Amino acid sequence: MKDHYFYNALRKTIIQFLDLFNDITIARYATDGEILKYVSVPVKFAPKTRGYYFQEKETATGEIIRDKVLPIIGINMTGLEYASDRAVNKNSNITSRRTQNDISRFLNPVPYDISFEVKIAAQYVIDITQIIENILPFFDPTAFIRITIPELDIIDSSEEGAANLDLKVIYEGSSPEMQVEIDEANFRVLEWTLTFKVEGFMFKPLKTEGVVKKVVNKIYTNETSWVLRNSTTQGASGIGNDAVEILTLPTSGVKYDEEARILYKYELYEKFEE
Amino acid sequence: MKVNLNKANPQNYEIIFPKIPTEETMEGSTELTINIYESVIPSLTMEATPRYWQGGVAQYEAGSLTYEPWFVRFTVDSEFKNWLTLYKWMLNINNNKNKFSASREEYVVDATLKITDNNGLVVLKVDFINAWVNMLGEITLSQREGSRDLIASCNLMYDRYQISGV
Repeated sequence: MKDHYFYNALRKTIIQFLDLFNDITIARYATDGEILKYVSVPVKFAPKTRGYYFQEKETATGEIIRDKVLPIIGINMTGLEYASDRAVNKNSNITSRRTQNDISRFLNPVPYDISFEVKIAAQYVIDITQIIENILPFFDPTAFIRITIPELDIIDSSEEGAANLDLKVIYEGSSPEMQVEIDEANFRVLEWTLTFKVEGFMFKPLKTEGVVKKVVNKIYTNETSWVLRNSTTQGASGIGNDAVEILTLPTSGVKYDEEARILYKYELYEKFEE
Repeated sequence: MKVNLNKANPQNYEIIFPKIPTEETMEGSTELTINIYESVIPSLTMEATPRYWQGGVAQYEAGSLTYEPWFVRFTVDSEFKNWLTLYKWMLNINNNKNKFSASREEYVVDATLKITDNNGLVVLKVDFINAWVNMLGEITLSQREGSRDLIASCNLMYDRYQISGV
């Protein structure tokens, strides 16, 4: 079975994208233009619940009431597509960690575009325009979010390791939906939908390999030494000047190297004739 | 080993002009700076010469380095201040009327192109040494293009550019 791996890159991208719209506050005005109070606008990831317009509240008398929560921002992921226009060398390994005994490498990340729909719902036009004015100036037409993946050493650039990953967020357009006809049982909800594209990345699994500590190399310089390859004679005197290596091994087998502390398989091949 | 996976963005730059020699205040050069929307780091070419040996050929450097002109595009402000500043800068060198040359020190300036990373931190400074304007592009006036901003371009000549990391 393939080793399990999961870097949470997609979830981290969604969370950071949601964070762009966090902490938006709008003001409620009196007729003379004076600010009455400030209202913070909640941000919800839309697939979580369909009932995000409503919230349970406890009144001063302890009574639980359900009340509509407006304004609100609902965000939904609408697409995920391979971005061939951002592709770079996919065979290139990136070394993320190197210790005395092993080395960890991963291949270049794979570019994917993630589409989001940001739906702003409010009861008053002034609420919508305030929220829009708090979002759009920061996209001209791009802004950046940042994710880190510590497993791949993609962490804060102030530390050793790969720099953190900046993802470009592109504003693509908006469509206002202003209800004109409302029946008596309903109330008016103004909605404004903004669409964004995040230039994200997906990652292939990290490969950790042991480092090569010792290379065992046997060289036969001529036919005579090749013929004598199975000799168990110790010392050069029994072979003559043609052999540069004295063999005490059969042609193949398993051997343990004390120095490198490795068990290795070996096989001796016939001399290559040029 | 530190690997940077982030890519550069063509929007991450800022151009800084000093006071243009013909200006009394920074008004014109400020209008130029804030309205620049496109520029380049000019290409540079080193001359090469072939040397032949036993039927083969090898390329050797021939010593001379050529910097292409620095190209800048900008939107013209409604009072034409930025365009006029460049126009006066050119005419200060030769007005084809009563002034046909100028001392080099009178018309050259050092301008800077800053390249930033995605967080606005300056990663590279390109200093254009002894820059002066040698081409002011045409401005197209039209009754049918009313929705567009008026744009102009200019070429600046310079001795060399030097790069400094920050």
